[in-house]
Amino acid sequence: MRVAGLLLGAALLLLGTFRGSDDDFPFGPFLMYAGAGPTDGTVAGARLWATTTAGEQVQVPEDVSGLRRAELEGQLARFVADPGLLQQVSAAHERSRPGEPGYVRVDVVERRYEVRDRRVVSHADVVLATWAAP
Amino acid sequence: MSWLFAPLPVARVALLRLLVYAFVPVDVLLTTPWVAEHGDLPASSYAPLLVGRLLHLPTPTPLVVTVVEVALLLAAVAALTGRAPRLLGAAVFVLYAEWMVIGMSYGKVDHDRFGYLVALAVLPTAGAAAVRSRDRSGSAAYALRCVQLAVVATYFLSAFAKLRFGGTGWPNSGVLTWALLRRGHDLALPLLDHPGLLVAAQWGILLMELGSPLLLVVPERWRQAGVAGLVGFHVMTFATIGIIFLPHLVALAALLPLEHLVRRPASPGATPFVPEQPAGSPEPRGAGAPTSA
Repeated sequence: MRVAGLLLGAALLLLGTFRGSDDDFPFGPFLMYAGAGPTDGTVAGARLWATTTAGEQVQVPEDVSGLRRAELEGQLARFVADPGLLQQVSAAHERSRPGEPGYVRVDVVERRYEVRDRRVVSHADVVLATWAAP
Repeated sequence: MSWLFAPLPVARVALLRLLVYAFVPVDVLLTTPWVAEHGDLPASSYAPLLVGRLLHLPTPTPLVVTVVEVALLLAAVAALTGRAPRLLGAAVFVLYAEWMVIGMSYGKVDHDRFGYLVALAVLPTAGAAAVRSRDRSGSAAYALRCVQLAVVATYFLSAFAKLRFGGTGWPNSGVLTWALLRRGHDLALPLLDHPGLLVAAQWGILLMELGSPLLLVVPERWRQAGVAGLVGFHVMTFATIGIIFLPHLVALAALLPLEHLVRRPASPGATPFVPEQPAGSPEPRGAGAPTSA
């Protein structure tokens, strides 16, 4: 029984490592920076920015959005396809920080670094999706 | 097979349980509080994992998340008492697994807790275990060996994941440059000016991962040195890119002779409630000791 349990777990883990994906958690492949980062090209990272009723530009804290940065990036395509989903960030902010100026606009901004031979040569910010209060 | 069941100290299981169950409230309340916040996200953000779809687990709502959270915390505290280790341990495992499904079903899966999940799954199988027990058992060995295998597999198989997804060029790639650009602390950013050092680190990481099974076979002193080296690696990772595998570090303790942390009573076969002996002979170290009279 115990040996069978161990063998089953090991088999699932091996299957996950060589054939599986994150969807097979906890048996998916251990992807800790497993991708080969480019030695030349663009390195991009997305952040959420908001404009408050006071006209200020602020970066949305993770505890407000309820989305960690990697989750934001995992769902990037959905936000781009339907920017209206970003309204949830404004709503979540109002719930968690009722005393603060609200968000009237939320942007998904991607910072893109240009890398040549493993060195940064320039960077630019690109707005990928925007929700604005009607 | 004999390696899997060759008796190991029961006290080590008891101490590992204390660590593992005490970590539950730390994890839930302090170090990964974002899991609880998933209850507030709209159902449309929920992208359930395979296990969630197979078992038809409920879509997280504030109620679902709160019920699981409270039940998990209560079960962990109850398990810390050492009573009903199989029942309470199984409860903690099931609730924590559901907690993980809630955590990992929103577009990002973490890879820092396979060993910890295995520890939660197998520690109950060892049955009753007292911190001051002087016994060794095959059941204790099975549980400890499973956790050891899981933590080593986390390193070893991650090397193959790198080769599968990053290709054989991974160690020569710009992955650490990429990691520093996306997550690097300001203090670590000067490392970007030394790409050669970063490539050397990439080779070091891959070789360390491929060499990790040695931890299972080397003598005790080397194993402890190896574990210390791994802890150093994780601390360094935290210092540079702010990622630390805390649940994994808890499970890593299964490789250490934890029983040396407690002074065992002189009388063999004692219950956990025997008063501590006056200062006496130091703890015998190493395999084979003590022999029961």
